[in-house]
Amino acid sequence: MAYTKEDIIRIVKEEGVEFIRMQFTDIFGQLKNVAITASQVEKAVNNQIMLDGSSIEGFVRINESDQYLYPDLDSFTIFPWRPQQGKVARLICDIYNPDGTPFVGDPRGVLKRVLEKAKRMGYDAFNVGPEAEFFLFETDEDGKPTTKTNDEAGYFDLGPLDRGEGTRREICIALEQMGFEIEASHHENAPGQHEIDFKYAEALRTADNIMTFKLAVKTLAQKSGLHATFMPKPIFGISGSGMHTNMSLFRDGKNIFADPNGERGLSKECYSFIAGVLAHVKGFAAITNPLVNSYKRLVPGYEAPCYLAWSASNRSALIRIPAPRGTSTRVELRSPDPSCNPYLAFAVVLAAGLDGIEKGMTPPAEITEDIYEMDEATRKLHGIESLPGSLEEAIRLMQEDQLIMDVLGQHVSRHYVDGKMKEWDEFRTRVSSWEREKYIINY
Amino acid sequence: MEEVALAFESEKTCAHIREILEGTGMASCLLCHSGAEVKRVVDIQGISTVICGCKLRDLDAESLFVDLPTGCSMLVVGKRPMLDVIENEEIIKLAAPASRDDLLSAVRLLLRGERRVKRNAIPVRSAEEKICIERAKELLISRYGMSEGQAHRFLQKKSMDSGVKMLHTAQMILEESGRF
Repeated sequence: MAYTKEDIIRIVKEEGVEFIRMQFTDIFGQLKNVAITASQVEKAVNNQIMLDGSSIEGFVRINESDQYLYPDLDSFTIFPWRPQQGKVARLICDIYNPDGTPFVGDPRGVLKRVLEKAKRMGYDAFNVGPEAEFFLFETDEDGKPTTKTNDEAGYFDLGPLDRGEGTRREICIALEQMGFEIEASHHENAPGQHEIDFKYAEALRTADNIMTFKLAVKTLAQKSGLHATFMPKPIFGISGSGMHTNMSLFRDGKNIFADPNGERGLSKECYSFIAGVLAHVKGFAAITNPLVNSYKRLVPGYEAPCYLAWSASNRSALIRIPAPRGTSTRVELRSPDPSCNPYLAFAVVLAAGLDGIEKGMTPPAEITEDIYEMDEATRKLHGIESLPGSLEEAIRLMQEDQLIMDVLGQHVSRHYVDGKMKEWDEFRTRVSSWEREKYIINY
Repeated sequence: MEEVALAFESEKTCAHIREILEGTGMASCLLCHSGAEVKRVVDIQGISTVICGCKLRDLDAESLFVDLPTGCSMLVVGKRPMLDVIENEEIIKLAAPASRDDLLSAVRLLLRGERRVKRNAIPVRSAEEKICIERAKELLISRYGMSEGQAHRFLQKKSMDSGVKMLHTAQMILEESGRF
């Protein structure tokens, strides 16, 4: 919804809003906020709320730490799950420098720059529709999450097997109260696993929506006595949580991926977009699959993609073309997981697709057979490569992909690589229970 | 028998209250070890009465109450200074140490409040109404430490939630104490 400054000031007063959360996202995808009282709403809408950027990982150093929060007025909403006396509202913000220039380390700004490039190429919209999965776990006596679900349900099951049905319903109601259009909500494959899909929107709005969605899911799960996690693979041996991402590009209101006369009803631009994504998917994996744990999901046997292939029919391919055509034609990238920073993820995927279009790339042949049934020699024969097998490999490949490094910019890429290598190093030096079980007796 | 969720930091307190409630046939108790467990039990098993201490291991009673569905009732049993910190007027408070009778009376109050939803309201004359309501308020003030304003709002809210007149809520409270 479009709001003016005066609208927001009036609504805050009329609705008895007591606190406003000025929200932003750090480079690792964590939602942050500066909470202000309602009395400061005029300062807020006039871009006068400051933050100490040196306290945010990947932002600025101590001696250059004053930064400003410029709210996107259209993101104003009142949280429906807070007490209705003393309401809490939020504004999603961009980060600016004291001199009025956008801060180069702001992930929202990274996506905006790629969207501007798309506009210069003649595309007036990049629409994205995510399908985010998550687990609901019980907590222990101290409130810490366990991996216990007390749920026996599987794909599309209903209550009473589906113990999370009530929580999913509360989440959908809250999201709808905040203006989301919920398209689907169902139990997923693994016990305790759920999926909620909301309607596609222009990429920046969708990235904002994903951050709001994750906040709503975690908050409402807590209210039901559960813990929600977007961790990609919390339990070995069952399906992990992905965030399949459906994308389409529009020019003059028309979906440019659709061509009724093209092969499979797809345009040359669509094929070039696919080719560009495939060419850079290894380079941007560190962004779309940002955790050590992300690579535990990208293994055969659980419907998660492992190999670089596309298909209009094969559901386990990295890139799938869903059946609808015309204005609903879209490309589905199945590798991202919901722990990613959605602003950076959409930025790198769009940049890769645009690179494919600019260079007139052609994708490899469609793979219709089951790639998991192929041995390594057969995959090599078909030219099918694999996604990175670890965060360390993904970071190395990202540093070798100049397009991706340029999209992120020097500041974000440097801090992201530093942060992720620290994470990898922490993991690498820890001794896991697997190692103890495997080695402690025999050695 | 009605089901209630019981949650106290002390297992001994939990066991003791359970013994009283189940022993008298007043309610069957589901023991919970955390606020999160109470929320799960309320959500999955449809329990709408919670008896707990001021503070659980993972959160305090007032925060727990905020997260419970509308229509849930809560009785908090604890030391007076800790009860005084609870601002939410919908929560019934019972100061410890409490007698067995006081506990049973308080739980009866909670449970009767739900059953009244199913009965029809019966109109009475306004003079009797006033006296009855005043007596009920006195009881809430003396037994549960409410102020006059809190007692009035408690009667109002219970009446609105149950869809019956304030007189009938007052009658119910007085029936529990035998002062009718």
